[in-house]
Amino acid sequence: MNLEQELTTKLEAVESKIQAGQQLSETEMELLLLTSLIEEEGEK
Amino acid sequence: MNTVKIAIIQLTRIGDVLQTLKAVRQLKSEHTNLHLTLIARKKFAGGLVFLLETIFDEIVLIETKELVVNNLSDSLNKQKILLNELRAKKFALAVNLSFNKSSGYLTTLINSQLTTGITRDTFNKIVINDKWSQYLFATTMKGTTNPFNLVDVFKYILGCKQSFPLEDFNHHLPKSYITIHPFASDRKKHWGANKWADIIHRLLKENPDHEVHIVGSKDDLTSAKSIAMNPVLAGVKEKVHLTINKDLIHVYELLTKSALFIGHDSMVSHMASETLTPSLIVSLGTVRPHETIPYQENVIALAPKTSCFPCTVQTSCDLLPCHGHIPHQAASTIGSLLLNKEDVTEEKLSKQLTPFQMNSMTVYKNTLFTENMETNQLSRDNDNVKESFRIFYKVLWHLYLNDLDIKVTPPRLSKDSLKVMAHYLDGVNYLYELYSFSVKYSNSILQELSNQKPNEELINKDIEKMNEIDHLCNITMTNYPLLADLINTLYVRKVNTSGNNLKEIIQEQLIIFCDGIHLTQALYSLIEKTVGPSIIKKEIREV
Repeated sequence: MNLEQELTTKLEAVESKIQAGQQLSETEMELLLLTSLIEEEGEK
Repeated sequence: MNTVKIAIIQLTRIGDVLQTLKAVRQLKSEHTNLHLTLIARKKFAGGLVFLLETIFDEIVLIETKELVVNNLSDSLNKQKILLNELRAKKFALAVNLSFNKSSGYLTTLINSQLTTGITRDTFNKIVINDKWSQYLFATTMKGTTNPFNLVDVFKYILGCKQSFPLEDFNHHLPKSYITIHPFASDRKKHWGANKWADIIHRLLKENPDHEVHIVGSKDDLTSAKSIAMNPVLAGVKEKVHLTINKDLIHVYELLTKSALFIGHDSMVSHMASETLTPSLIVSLGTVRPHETIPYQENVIALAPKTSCFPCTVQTSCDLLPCHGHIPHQAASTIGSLLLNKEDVTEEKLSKQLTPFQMNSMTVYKNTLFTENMETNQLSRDNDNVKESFRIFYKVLWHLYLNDLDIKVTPPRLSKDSLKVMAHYLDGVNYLYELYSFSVKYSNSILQELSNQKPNEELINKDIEKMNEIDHLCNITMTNYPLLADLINTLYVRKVNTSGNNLKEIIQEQLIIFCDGIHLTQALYSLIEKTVGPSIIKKEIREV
């Protein structure tokens, strides 16, 4: 599994927790940070 | 004196980093016991280190490419190392001056004792604790009536009281360059090559002792060539130079030798405010000149009087009507006045431009005061309703957020504008009633909660009514769009109340609704004074 696939899978799990109103762990918040840094990388 | 460690987080573009630098320079001048760390993206702040290190004690540059490796676990580990390094610094305060996703997570994850700006709670909800960041989130780059420059809002978030004007140590040097940055990040924000060629031609004709330097990134090379090779410039081409894809320090040096900068809203314009180069800014498309005009005194901005200006990033536009509303003759005329160190006045412009050209645009001028910078129309003879609301909001926000009572000159409006203004009295009155109802329902909930056995059904009914009021506020905003900044700011404040239980949350919200009542009362009074005595008001309504 490449990085993009791994990220998508993990993010789906985090997204479900957010939708269910569950608290996120520090590691999950770190995953969201990494994702947003990658997403914003294309900005000029 | 103990040193206080503060992290300043700015993960957005070069222009934002330069605006942050200006605000933090003021912070540093007001407090000598601070150790300031800037956390920024390498691609935006890397080229500015030569400037940033004059103010920041430490600069941490994030390079995403270095964090991202082949698999997720290693990437997260690399990021963890960075986060741990930041956590080890034990910041007393983390100030997030950027409003993108990553900055919110980063500000949360570095575990500082206090935070301002956007953060996230453990449910991934956006949390903004301070009033000025709430205001910024609610209004900036959304509405059209924010009266404050972004640098001043950053200063207010940082708790600064005054402005720190730079000194021009190079003022005695002869300056024969004109630096032009005719590009911008979005097509809507910049003119085409022909218009720029016309401006350069006229500037060089009127100022033969000067030479023009067009600056830009490597992506701008083709456009830069099409300006320089334009047939209009055939007779002066030896005086037009391209400075493309050079380091920012090179652009900075060029600006120190320049008697004038002309460009659109871009990071080069903010750099020109660092070198105190007199500047002319052509604001088009999504640009809100009051928010992003370079922070220095010697700046003129031109904005089109097109009804759709300023638009939003989401607005698609093929015809670009705002581009035609600023005549190139205006840019070259003002450019020549600035080159010759003359005051730019309406009288001088009227002599050189036609009434048609004058009426198609608004000319703004900066004035630096002790506390902040103001960007006002060159002529106040014909304020429009939007400008008038900007003046009203300046009074309201200074009072509400800075506890500062300022005096302003009342707007002067045409009869048509007065009609529109009178119509807003109804909208403000309606909003006043909505906030009054919110106070009533909040009090009802608090009353119920004070009972030994609170009636949950009654409380839920009141909460439902308060949600309906939010919906009615949105309808009011659609019908009276110039009330958007007020409605949005109070809404953002409301959803960021920090109570631990229903009672604490409602108590905090009650205060915000009371603020809403006071703000609408004050706004009503300002509009009423502008519109005039009630008889005139009636006449206007009857028209």
